[in-house]
Amino acid sequence: MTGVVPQVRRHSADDEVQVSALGKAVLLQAWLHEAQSVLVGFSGGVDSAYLACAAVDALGADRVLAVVARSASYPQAQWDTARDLARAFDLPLLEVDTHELADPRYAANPVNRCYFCKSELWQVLVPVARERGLAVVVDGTNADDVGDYRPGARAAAEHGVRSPLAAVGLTKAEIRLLSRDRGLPTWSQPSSPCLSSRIPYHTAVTPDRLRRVERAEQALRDLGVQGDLRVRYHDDLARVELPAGTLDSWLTPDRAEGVRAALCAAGFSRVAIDLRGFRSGSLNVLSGVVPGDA
Amino acid sequence: MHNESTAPAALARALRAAGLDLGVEGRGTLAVLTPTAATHLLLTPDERRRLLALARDHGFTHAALEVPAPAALPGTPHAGAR
Repeated sequence: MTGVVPQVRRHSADDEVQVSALGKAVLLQAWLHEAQSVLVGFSGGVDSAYLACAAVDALGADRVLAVVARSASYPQAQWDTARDLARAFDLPLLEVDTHELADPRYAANPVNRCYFCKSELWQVLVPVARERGLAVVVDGTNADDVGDYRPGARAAAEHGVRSPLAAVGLTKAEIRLLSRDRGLPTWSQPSSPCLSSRIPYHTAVTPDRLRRVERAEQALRDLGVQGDLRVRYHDDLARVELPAGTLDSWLTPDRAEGVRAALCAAGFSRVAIDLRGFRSGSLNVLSGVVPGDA
Repeated sequence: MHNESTAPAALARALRAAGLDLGVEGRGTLAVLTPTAATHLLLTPDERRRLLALARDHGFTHAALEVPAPAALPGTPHAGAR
């Protein structure tokens, strides 16, 4: 796709980032115009929220449908965020149920687990788009995601799902910047992959384990943990990844005991605080799917 | 790189030599470190860096510090009471 990049005088590195993001936002509008109408796989996260708003800006609300797929691996708090966003930004919203846990290939939690989840998702959403006459199904994959280990991308490709944010080269940082300028509260929201990403590969994903992780993370939010947070499931033990810059404040006896008590109340019998703090894709490293060290 | 079954003991010895008295439980490439006194929760950033470097040297990709229940810590009023 060709597009027009605005001619803006560049003053500093920050300005260049801004100009780059604005240029790509223009390209995104052109991409969406070409698509004519879209169904957006909508999680209420940073990327899909920006994409859904950009789509309404480009096409109007009558040619956009944001669809939330509810399932056991999707935290309740995320549904609430998605609904609130749709209400606040006049996004046409549809909620559907998906059942990836009923697929034993998913529940066994292989390294390509996301493939089975996304296959289920798009098997439900693509027919919705067809029934409603929406031309293109899109997701919130961004340019940073392209190099990651993401088996779910194969399922998207198999169902003809397109990724306009990645197509125009928008990175996560740029999407946050544009979201802030657009007034979206998601601009500073931590990334929020599904709850199954807390369970090590080859450890079965069950509704009970997902709920335990969800309760544990909510309990830590209630204690005041802000920013990136993961409670990783290791059978009886919860391994907590806190924002690295806050570790000092949590590794005091009183606050650590608060963390332990909260996670034991959530259903774990042992609690350990990861000494490196939050790492995206931590379990990929632990499982040897991608290289990494302590 | 250390053998999976011997790495925890070797890491515990290396930590003791570095002045960090911690128990080590290996769970694959995760090292779960258990303090032997409450003060060990107060690791400085430098101690954390040294600890992580030693864990890495012994083949671990992750190291996490267990928060023991108050009664489990030696030197606390309820130690050994359970």
